[in-house]
Amino acid sequence: MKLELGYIPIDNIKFAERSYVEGSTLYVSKEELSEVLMQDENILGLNFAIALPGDNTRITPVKDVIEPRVKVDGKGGMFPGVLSKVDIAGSGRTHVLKGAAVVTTGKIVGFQEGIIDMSGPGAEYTPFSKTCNLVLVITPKEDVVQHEHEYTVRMAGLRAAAYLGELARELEPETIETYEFLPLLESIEKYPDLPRVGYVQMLQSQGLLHDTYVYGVDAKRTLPTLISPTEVMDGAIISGNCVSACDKNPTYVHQNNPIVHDLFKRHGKDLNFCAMIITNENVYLADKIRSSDRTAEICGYLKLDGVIISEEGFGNPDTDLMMNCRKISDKGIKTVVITDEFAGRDGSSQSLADADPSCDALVTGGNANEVITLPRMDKVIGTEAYVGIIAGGWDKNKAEDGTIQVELQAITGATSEVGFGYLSAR
Amino acid sequence: MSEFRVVHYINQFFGQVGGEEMAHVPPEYREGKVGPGLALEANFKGEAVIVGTVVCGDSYFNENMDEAKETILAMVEKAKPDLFVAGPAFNAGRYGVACGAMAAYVKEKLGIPVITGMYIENPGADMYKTDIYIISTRNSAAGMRDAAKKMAALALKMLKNEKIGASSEEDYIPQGRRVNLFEKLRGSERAVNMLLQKLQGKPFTTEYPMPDFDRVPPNPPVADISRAKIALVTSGGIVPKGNPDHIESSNASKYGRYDIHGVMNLTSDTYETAHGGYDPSYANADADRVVPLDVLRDFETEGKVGSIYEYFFSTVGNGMAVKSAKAFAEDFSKELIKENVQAVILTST
Amino acid sequence: MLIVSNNPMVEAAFGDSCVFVDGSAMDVLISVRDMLHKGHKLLSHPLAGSVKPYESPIRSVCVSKNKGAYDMQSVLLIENAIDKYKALPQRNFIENHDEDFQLIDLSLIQSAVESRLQDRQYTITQSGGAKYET
Repeated sequence: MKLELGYIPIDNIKFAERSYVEGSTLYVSKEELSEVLMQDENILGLNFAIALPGDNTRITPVKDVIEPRVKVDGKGGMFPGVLSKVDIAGSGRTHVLKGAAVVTTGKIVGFQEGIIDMSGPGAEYTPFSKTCNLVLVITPKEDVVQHEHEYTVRMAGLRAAAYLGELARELEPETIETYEFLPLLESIEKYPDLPRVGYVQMLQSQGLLHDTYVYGVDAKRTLPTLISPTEVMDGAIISGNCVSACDKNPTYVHQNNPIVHDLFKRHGKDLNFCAMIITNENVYLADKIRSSDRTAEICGYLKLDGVIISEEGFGNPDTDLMMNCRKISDKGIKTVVITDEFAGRDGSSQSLADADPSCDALVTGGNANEVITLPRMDKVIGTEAYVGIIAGGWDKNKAEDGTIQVELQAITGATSEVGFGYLSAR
Repeated sequence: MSEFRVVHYINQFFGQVGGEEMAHVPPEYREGKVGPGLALEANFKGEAVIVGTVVCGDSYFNENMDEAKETILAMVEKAKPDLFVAGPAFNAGRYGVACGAMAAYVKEKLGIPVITGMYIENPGADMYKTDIYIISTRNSAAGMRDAAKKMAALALKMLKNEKIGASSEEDYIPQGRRVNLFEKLRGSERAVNMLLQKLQGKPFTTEYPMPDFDRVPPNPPVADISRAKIALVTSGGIVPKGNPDHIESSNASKYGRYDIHGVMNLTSDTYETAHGGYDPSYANADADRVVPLDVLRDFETEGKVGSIYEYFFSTVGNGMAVKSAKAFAEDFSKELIKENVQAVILTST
Repeated sequence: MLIVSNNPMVEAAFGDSCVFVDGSAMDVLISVRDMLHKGHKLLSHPLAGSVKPYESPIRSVCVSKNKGAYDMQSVLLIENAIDKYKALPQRNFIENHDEDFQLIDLSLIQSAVESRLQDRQYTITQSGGAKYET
């Protein structure tokens, strides 16, 4: 499978009469986009806002972040099995509005987090302070229950991203990157002397607000399976995961999975990136055993030399992580895991909810319990009322200086477990 | 701005009093810098000055710890320092304990920043790393230059109330508290690099070591205890009265092997504990409370156990490095095996 | 299967299969621990999904209805969960969101129950493997 990603750099978004891209500015027509989104009859009201890097702006509570892309050539459309008909993604050419992102917000339930600060100290912790964001604030009709509400917000984000991506169809990319993923036997033949390396991606899959979809299928109803990393780069996995702001993978992060990118970077030189396996994180213990067994079996069957395992979320997924690590290591395969930590506000508690001696090479996204003080922002898109604020002012208490204290876990992408960020801990 | 005032603590060796033969000297206060103080002060780059140095023998400190701590504290307090520095102690065990104990005590009593340095395997590191910043040094004084540089750098940060980074940034021994930092490479790239190191059999450092899993699987039960030869081993410090082997009250460097031929009972006239980590009165009144020889002799008479091995082994577990404990056990276990001992009753306190 | 829970929505949904605990999430974990010591087996992970363990006042955990041999793996999991729960402080939210927490908890436990239905015979063994239940 060969995928070309054509990048059209975007460094500004403006509202306009019609939607188009000129230079590196994305012009968005609210009317046209509303028309696309209002086909969902659950939506009562829609608001759009623009948040640019450096703005004195806070977006919260963030549900998902999606990168606008369009399928220019090759099989399938954007988000096959969800937005476009079922097909295999990952080959041909896809254009990307690089630097732009669609951000969805919404209440759904009352304890939602997900903060993106576009400037100030909080901005250092989220990758989406560096993107030009078109924010959708969606109000559902009154009788819409939480499950439907989540679905509505999720679909609106994807539709908006696809709509914007479409603007890039006829544009000439500034740069084109090519990624090729060969059939296993060919890959081994081509690089007989390089270690065979695989990537095991764990997908959160536990229920409402905790779900991930692969080609539209709820990941908790799947067995671990092989997938081409180019498929993942091309929209095969989308996020329905609204909890755990700091360490969940928004759709944007699936589209730009950094482990996939960094393994490709060394592919053919230091290693042979020849397998990607996706597995789930279910609540039911027998599911955990079954999925980790299957994952390890696949790794063993492929005779991999090394595997990177990434977790999503915290708490009971730590058990899946340790089972995967132990069972894959038991096959004689070298493992590195990526996770994050919940070591308490002072950092002195046990970092993980589970542990295993085989897990001797670990990369951490940092301690998500660490407390940070965020300054008052001139503009809040969404509402701060639902954030788990430790101390400080909020809407009801603007008389004070307006700073808020939160744990890093409230910040979108702060402790990414696919290594999208630079934060770590010792 | 005037310079920060620093008091420095060093042992008899670095104080140029003498080697092990002078380890008994009590603390003395000298004006200005001595020995390693020169290297430290050079690294303060004029921002801090060592106003005085406490020199104390390692044996003196460890054998008279409470008294030594008070004496030295008084010397330090009088000099009105902004910071207290001890060592670096490298891999010297008793020096490390003294540096750690003294730094922690000054921090507690005077509330000023303190810093020391030692090798990661120095028992003092394990004992005090959660209380104070201990710069990780090499295992010998050959690492003095590097240690002085890092200790001075962190000391200045503390003096100026600057943010202290994670252990990997400042090179102090991790304190059991996780501290966040921003790395130069993103997480995914660090993971790929770590995997490549692991695949090539090269060294790599995990960013979060798993909790210690050093567990020994228990042996199968003794088939017939009424025929078994049983030995007694303790880390509770029980020794013949007078502590003939001079087993240290903490961070012991040795274990003892004591003959119990014909001994039926460990009495207060004949045995005591050398342990400095618990209230010794009950063990001193009746050492059988720690090493249950009296009951075991009864069992022997009644035929409930086969026999008792005629030597028991004892050390002081207080502050002992796991490494020392392992080495001791490996050593005396050879004898136990040779003498066909089938079971060991291991008591701790 | 039994569901030990302090969630009224779970009680309403599962009726007699729910062992209702009138107390905190910690009380639920303690009740589960006591049952595990009596020979019930743990069937769902005692820590919730990524609604962090100390955020939600609501907790439901699935255990086997039948009692069997003492299951070490179950006991280790619940003890770890209790430790983790104790270590991390309860978080404060501005408003009371009990109903939302109940809904999320119900959804998580439903996903466990669905797995259970397609999977009647499995239980975990001490080594962390799976074996058939009789």
